[in-house]
Amino acid sequence: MSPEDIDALVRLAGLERTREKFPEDVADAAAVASAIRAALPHRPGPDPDRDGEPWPPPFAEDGA
Amino acid sequence: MSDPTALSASELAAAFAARALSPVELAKALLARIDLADGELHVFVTLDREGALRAARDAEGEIFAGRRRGPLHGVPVGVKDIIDVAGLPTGCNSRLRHGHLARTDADVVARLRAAGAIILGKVATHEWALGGPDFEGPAPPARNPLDPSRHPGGSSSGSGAGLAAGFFPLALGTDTGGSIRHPAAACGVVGLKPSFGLVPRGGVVPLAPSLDTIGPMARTVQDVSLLFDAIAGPRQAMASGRDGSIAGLRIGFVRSFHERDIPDPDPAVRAALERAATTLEEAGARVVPVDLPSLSDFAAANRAILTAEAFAIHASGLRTCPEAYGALSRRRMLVGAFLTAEDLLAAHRRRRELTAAVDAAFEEVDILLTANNMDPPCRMDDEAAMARNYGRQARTPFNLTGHPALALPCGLFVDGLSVSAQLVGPFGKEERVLRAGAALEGSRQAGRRA
Repeated sequence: MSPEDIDALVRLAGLERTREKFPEDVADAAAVASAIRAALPHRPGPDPDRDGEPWPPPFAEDGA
Repeated sequence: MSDPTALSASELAAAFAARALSPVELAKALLARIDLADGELHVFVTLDREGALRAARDAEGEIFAGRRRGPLHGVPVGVKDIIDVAGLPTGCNSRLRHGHLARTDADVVARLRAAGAIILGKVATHEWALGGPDFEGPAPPARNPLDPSRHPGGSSSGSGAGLAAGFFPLALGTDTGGSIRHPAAACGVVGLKPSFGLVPRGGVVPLAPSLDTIGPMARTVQDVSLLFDAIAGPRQAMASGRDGSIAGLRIGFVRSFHERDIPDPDPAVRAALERAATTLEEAGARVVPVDLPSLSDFAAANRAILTAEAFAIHASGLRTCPEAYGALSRRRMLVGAFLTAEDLLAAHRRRRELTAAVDAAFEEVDILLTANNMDPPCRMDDEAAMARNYGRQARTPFNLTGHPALALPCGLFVDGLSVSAQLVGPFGKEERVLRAGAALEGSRQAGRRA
């Protein structure tokens, strides 16, 4: 996660004051979140909620 | 009568029925033991001395008048301090809960009172059931009675430590990422994380609502069964009537967790689990190897969901008064702020895939045998060791999948502290894991006596 990404998420979550007081905790949390993200299956594959249909649902290639 | 504080709940019930012991005598003996030792162990956050003695007198009157409500009547219980008990604070070991007083009992406490159990008081938890030992928190961290320099596990640390110290025979804990089974392992006692959703959660402060589970802890499997029957409701209680035999039970031994997924577990873990498998076979079960997906797969999905849900609950507090949180829980909760909807959806998809993988294993076997802790508990003051050991365990898979998991001692590390195993069953099949647990426990006790 880039410093710009962290800045954006800190602002979005309203954690500016938290980062002022605990910059190391915020940096550590962002690093752990990155590690968790890397370990999650962000990949296409069968969707267990839709009887194994592809995930993400493919967009119609004919523009429909 | 031998020392009543050493008796199990089932032995106490028999002693009450025979009038060999009264609930008041027991309560006084426990309070004396607590007065003697809790200054060092810090198990109790709120000890309800008067309430417990009053309830013990009531129980004594009813039991001796022939109006016994059941096996828990007159038996004291320690309650984790995130569970409401009417008239007592629910502190959650948080500075934000100063002055809190619960107006009503949590559903699970109401069930205990209906069964005649005596609420002895509120016992230590890590902050919000998430942080680790916090030496700056409102209450000092509980110590491990087996070695007060060692971590007692958590977050249900007071429940495990109080059982090992002989302060009460039964305790309630909660388990979102292993918080019943960790102190059970560290303190050498027994703990059950029931199937997700089985035990009502009204009046319990949430950590991660799609994972939070309340469960029983005790010094024996039989006592865990008694407490489970009381808190799980009548239908489950009938289902958990157990006759002891495990002849023909098919047990899947998941060696991959401790042999493939965790580097260099303590050698005692492998040895103790192999002995447990042999013991179960000798009791008539059939043990076969089972592989499951890797612990890191389970852990990633569990941490994403847990931290996202915990952050959602605590976002306001973390924005406005982050200094009111201990460092460990603040760091862990803040992780949720840096996960996206896409991450959370990926975690939930993976959760369903992993649950399906465990369910598929249960098409071939009746229960699973797995490791619990991979190392003996580390020193309380060794932050680096605590951070290192945080993920070196096999508990989170079954928070993620919701299957019932029983933690129980199955051997010893070289320093004399317990190695703990897990027995895991299909959803709603607590009876099976308790039956297998009783067989394993009985064989170990018989072996020690021989």
